[in-house]
Amino acid sequence: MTGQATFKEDCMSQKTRALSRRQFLKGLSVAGAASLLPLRLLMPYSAEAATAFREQDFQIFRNACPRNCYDTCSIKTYVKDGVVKFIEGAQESTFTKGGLCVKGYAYPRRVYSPDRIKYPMVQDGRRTGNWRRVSWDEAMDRIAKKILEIKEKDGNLLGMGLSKYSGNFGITNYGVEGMMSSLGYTTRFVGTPCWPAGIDAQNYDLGDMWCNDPEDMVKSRFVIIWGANPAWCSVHSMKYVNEAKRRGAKVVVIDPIFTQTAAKGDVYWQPETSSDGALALGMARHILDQGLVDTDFVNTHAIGFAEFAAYLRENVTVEWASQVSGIPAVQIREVAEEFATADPATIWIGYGMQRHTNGGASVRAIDALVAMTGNVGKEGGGARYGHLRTWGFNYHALLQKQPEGSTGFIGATGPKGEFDFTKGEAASFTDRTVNINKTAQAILDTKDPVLRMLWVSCKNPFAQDFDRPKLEKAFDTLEMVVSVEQFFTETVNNSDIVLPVTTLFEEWTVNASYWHYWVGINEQAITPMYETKSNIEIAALLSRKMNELSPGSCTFPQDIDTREWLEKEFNQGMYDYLGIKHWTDLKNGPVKAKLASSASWSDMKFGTPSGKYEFLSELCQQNGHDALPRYKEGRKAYDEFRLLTPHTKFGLHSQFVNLDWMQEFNKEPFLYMHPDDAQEKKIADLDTVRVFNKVGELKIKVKLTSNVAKKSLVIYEAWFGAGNDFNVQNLVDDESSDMGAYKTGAPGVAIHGQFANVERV
Amino acid sequence: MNDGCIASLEGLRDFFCASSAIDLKDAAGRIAESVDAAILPGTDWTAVEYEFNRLFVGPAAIPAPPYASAYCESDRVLMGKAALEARQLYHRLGLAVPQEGVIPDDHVAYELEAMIVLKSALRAEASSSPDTQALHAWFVREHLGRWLPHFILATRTHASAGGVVALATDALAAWFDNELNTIAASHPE
Repeated sequence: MTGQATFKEDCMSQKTRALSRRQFLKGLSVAGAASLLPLRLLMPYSAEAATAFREQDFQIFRNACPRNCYDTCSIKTYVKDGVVKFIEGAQESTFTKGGLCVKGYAYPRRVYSPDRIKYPMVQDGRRTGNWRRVSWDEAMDRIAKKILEIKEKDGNLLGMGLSKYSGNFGITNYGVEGMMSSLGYTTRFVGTPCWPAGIDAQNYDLGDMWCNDPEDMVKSRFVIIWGANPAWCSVHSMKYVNEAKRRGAKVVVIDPIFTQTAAKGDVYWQPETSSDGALALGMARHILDQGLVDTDFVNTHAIGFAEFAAYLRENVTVEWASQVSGIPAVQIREVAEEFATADPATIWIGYGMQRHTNGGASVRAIDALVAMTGNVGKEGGGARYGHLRTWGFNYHALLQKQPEGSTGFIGATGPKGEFDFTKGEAASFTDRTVNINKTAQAILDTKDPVLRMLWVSCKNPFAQDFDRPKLEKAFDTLEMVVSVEQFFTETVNNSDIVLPVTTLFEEWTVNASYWHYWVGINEQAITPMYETKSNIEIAALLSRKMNELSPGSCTFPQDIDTREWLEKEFNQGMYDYLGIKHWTDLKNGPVKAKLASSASWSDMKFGTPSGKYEFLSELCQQNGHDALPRYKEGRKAYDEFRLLTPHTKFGLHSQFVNLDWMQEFNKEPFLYMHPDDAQEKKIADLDTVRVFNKVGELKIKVKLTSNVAKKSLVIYEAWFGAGNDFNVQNLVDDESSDMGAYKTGAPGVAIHGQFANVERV
Repeated sequence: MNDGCIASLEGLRDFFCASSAIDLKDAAGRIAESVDAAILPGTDWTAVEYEFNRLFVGPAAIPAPPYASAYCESDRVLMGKAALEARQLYHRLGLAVPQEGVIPDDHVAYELEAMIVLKSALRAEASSSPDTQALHAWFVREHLGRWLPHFILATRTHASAGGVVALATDALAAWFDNELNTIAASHPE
């Protein structure tokens, strides 16, 4: 493959290709001879200057990967002739450290894919494939007239819904929510399918979700990676895990799948899926029995430890934990002792392990394990889950006022979410909120007024929302669906209008991470291609049309300069936190927040009601859960096999998977199952099988591997692009996880609490 | 080189940059006239527009991208060397694609317009300059020759038989064959 990402290497290798080493040496000797001659006409010529890569031949821009990923890479983009030639990771960020992941390197393929959505288009009948080009003006005219019709019919705009999540985390993209507010009170799909149960759990225990700087993992003496696969999903974090290991730390990986991360650990546990709580509590009981509790921490900086200890003594044994999890008791004891005696020790709590009906309870049990060993507030320690400390922007694009006289929903508290930065302003009316994890059901159930119109941006509901068959039925009840997209997804296929949106190289914005502490600017590196526009430019166009048709009907500014809007996101607090004078300083490279300590909670002042770590949380109890991190059983099996649909290495949810470079290595989806189960089902390697359950079915080729546990089926999400209707959401229902509603507005979803059967076809 | 050839090229240019059924109908009419073909009465021009977008525009993945780079790079990607080659050619003709980089320079419609310019120049010059002749020969043989046959094949593979898109593609193929032959006769390699 000699495409754009390898351009630099091409340039640099040209010299060696043109002259073999032998010829090169010969050339040198001749050149040396020439320098002795009294030449009159010829001037010195350096082959190197003509063919080598020269940075000054390029315009270099700063970009930041805006995808929903731990790593949020700082990117350097090399542009020549107005074309992105290649990109690389920024060296200035010690986290990105000059390298990108396999997906990131493929970015130029995204901008220059012939299959990009280029123009606003209208589909005459959903799923017909009958598309016509329309001008932006006509597209906006259709949309604006529909909005005005809804307002006329219902007396409010609650019939207009917004489905948006993490497709583009560039801060100015919160202008999509701003656009909705600027139109009136609307219906918002709130919550998150990603990490809500764990967020609530950490809020009950610690008072916030706030992780240590991942770069301080090198200081850990004992690392447990629990339900996360950074070797695929946070490749930049692996260098810290590896360095900790090199310095002598033991690395334990706990995962129902033997992942690439597991392969790099010292110990691998493959527990029964969703038994994590039992495993953590069994370890806690052993630590208690061995007298390895950090008494200073639990007495001085925590409340409720006595009650927790009593619970452990009365209800938990190592043998019980072993029975529930399938991990031998001797191993549980050994790892527990080593974890408790290592100083510092840390646990990386992955998002996968909390996508269960008992996910929040399991995270609380793991938090307790970290806390009782005194590893909270310690550099190299910590119950690492995520943070939003570097997200203190102004949210200028987000915070738009409803038009004068707008009416909306009365009685609820307005939109919520882990990225909700509206600070709960009091209003007489609010938006109507429905659960993003039950998108299909919410569309079907919402009445008075019904949902008539859906705006989709930064999201691909047909790839990510649950119960795809139901979602199609739900979409069919909507009078208008508008999708803002870069590629033709199943969601676009189920839309009436598609609007082409810019890539990261075509707009100004700024990006922060929910894992590391670097913040990077995203410069516009090239002119937006075709008729693509950024989300805030689209909002401005809609506002212009709304006001043209009905003056005063939209408050969103009608002329937008994305660079100016980026500037409006910064404030003195951000500047101080980042140690910069002005946002333009970020043009020199990403900057890391000035942290008092690499450890979260290092001052032992917790955000809980008591100000201490809460083994016993009354707030948790008030919200309908156990006050203590008691064991909660997972979802009961409703079919023969456990079904797991985790993240693929070659995509971020449904993004990237369709690009040619990804498909070079990941040509088609597979079901992975254990050879023993396959034998029982008379299934051979590479057979085509039918996977089916109460939600739906899909046909897929099978690969047999003992990397997956017996009685489990593993299919990596999500979408493959043209000519492939593969979609794991045909098999995943919308069962809620236990927690999430407190901090994110809706409970999470039991993505891994799913079951199915399989047969050869 | 006659007016008919230019008119045919203009029809093809307008066809491949059409953005509506009306544009397509107008351009296809001129193409048909220039090649003595007939368009079926009662043609559903909206259906032609759907097919045109399915093949060349989107929003779904397009089987026949109308850009040289999609066929000239080692991978299927736009804004490659072929696009910059086309840009250089336009610059030598004193022309440029408006807002360079927004629509790839090697879109078939731009290239057909550059061809119109070249052919008009060749015709206007009493004894055409060797430069223009060389440029024209290079453009046909080295540039268009590398991708147009692949584009025509992709289009023929995916267009409905006997349809308007197929007619336009046949006209493009016929023109290009003729152009190659003419050059071969007057400018042996």
